[in-house]
Amino acid sequence: MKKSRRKLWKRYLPLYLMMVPGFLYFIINNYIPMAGLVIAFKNVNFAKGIWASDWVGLKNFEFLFATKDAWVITRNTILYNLAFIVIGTSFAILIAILICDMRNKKFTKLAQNIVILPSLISMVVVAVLAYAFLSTDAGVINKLLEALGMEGVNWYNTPGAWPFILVLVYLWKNAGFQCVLFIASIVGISNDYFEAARIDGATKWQQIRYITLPLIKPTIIMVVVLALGKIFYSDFGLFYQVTRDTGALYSTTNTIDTYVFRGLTKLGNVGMSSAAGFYQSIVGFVLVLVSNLAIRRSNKENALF
Amino acid sequence: MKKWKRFLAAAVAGAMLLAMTACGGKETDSKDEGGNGEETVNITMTFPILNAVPQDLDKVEAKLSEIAKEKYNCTITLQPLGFADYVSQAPLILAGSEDIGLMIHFDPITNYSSMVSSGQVNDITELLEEHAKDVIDTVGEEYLSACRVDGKLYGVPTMHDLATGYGVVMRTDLLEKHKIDVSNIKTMDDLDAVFQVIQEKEPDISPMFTGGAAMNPADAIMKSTADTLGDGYGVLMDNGQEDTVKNYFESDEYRAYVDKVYSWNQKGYLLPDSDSIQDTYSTLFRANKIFAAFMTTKPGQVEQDERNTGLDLTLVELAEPLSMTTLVNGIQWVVPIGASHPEKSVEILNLLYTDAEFLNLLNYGIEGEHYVLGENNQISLPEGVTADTSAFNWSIAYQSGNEFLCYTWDSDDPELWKQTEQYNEEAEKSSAMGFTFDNSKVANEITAVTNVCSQYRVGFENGALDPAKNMEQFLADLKTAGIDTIIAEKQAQLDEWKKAR
Repeated sequence: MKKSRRKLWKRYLPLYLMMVPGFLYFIINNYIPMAGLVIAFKNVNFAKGIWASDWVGLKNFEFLFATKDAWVITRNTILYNLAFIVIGTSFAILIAILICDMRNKKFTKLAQNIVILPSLISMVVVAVLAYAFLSTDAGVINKLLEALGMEGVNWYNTPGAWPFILVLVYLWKNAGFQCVLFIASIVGISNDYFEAARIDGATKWQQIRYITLPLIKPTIIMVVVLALGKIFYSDFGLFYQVTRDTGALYSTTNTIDTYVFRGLTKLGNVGMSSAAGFYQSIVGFVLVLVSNLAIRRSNKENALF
Repeated sequence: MKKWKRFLAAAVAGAMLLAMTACGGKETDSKDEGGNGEETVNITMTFPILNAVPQDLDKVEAKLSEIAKEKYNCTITLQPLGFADYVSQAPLILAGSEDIGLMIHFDPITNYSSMVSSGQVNDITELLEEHAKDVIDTVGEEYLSACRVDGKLYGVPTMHDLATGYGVVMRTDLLEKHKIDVSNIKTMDDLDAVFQVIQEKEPDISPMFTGGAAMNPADAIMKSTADTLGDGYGVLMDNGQEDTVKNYFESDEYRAYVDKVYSWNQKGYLLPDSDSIQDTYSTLFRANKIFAAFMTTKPGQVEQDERNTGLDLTLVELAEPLSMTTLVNGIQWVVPIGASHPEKSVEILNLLYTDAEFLNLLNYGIEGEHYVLGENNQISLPEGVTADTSAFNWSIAYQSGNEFLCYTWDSDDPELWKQTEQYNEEAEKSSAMGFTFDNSKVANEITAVTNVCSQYRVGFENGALDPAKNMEQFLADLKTAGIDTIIAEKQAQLDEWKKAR
């Protein structure tokens, strides 16, 4: 008995040791700071220090709900995230399938790298690139419109165009990164299935619909449930930098994060901004639990936990 | 083979652990013993600057430390930050545990009333009495009173032009080229004719730049015609002489300004896409893109702008100077709560307000190396050195403490400081001078109103939004956001403060 235990220990010790740095990082960076959640419920006075400051109950949360903007920012955040989840994931799967289906295997690696490239570019740079396209007098799009005989559009003053613009920018930037996950899943599907299907005379579309998609369902579920956990968050760079913080576009581009940032940089109230973050994460947490429960009901093995 | 691999895996894991502990380590200041056995304290001073950090910062820092060590057994570390960085760093410094000894509060980047009510700055009333009586005498109670909250002092205002007017600076060379006479220009309407000429004759240069996305141009006008009472949400009109707090954005003045700027944009006088331009006027002047720009005014403003842009400029004033609490307590030296030796920080204030040698070093650098001293206490750049190539060239005199003790550039009037002091005395003073608004009860409304303002103001004030279509909505949104609650609270506090006097 003792001998086999020693052997197991020897075998797995290096693995545990390798886990230690990441584990420590998580404890220090993600779990210990959770104690700071109390800031959301306090009126922080730095002279007294965080722990001795007064409790104010839910007062720090009021500013999120008391304003007429509350509905607009919540609606924008949720709708954009739903669009990103649905359109983004579909697009990522599409690209993954296309890449995996390529005949020239050498080109596959190149394609993967090209597709990931945009996700490595900082959003600030992307904002400048977007400006190069959308600028009223010198932008590429307006110049194109004028060449075709139409009038240029003042993009930074047309709120209606921005849901499309922002979804496009998001897709361009993130689809590549997401598809890596799907490529890994698709590659894991045994080729026998596809061969059998080809012999039976299935078309490409039928192969995708009946083999690929069902077999990567666990991955899709994982990606979607995790994304749901972030449904009240937004990519600050995307909504603040790419729109150049233009006031005219607020009705369609103001999200919870940008609202809190704009409102609180002047005040510097740590309690209120913590309350906003707390609100976002609580909603995400509940959503993840609920959706996982729903999935578990229908198909136990596909649930995340 | 297996053993070797296992050993390697363990070694790599151990190395990663070590690497993790290595990063994130803070530098500990070395504290050496002073002559009398006391520790030499290092005072870090942080403040915002317009251009890049000067090359010779270390040299000047060393000389400053010499003086500080001799007099107060302290060494000095300068930590200048660009304005854009200051916006993001200042809240962190105030909230964090960094040991910053002295920091510049710069309205509107930092909010004095918020800093005080959330305990981010030290109460230095007693420390000033004990260690810096000279500072109190130099600044004077009239200006110090603007920094008192509940009778206590949390910062010291820096001496500079404490009133502001506003006007328009224009390029002299183009004025002369097209023989434009500006002596009769008194209002914004008079400017139309000038812009018309420039638009026709100089197609590549935009006649006017209102300020861009980085600022609300109407702030300059607001501050010259009304007391903003801190944040501009609720002001005292008529140069601060009225008693009722009103909503500036509802006023005829604001509407007139927005209408005017919108008409300018329609006529094509403004730089295109002004409402999303992040550059400052000095960059645009230097890039030959604009002819004129809005400017706040003070003695020596034009000369300062000419130094920044390298062009000859003419200033046309459109309003008389006005002084109010926000201008006085808008720029102050404060001692953040994280300072390890507040009494030493206060002692360094003595150097900043009464020591001409220290001030000249801080503002201009080392004599002979960075500047040459001439007659009348005026200085000039050394032979062959220009503003761009100088290893120590920044303009922070107005926030250094007591700029009146410094030398003046030879491009300025030698009587500049006397003129500034006179300017301060003669400027009209708001009836609410000395009143500071405590905004802690209306934090939610201020957040909402700030959001509404950021949605509309840049567009309105750079001529991008049509007031006829949008002003009503803006005012309605302000009301929903609670600007009337803020105004009512301000009025109540103002009335109480006036009664107590």
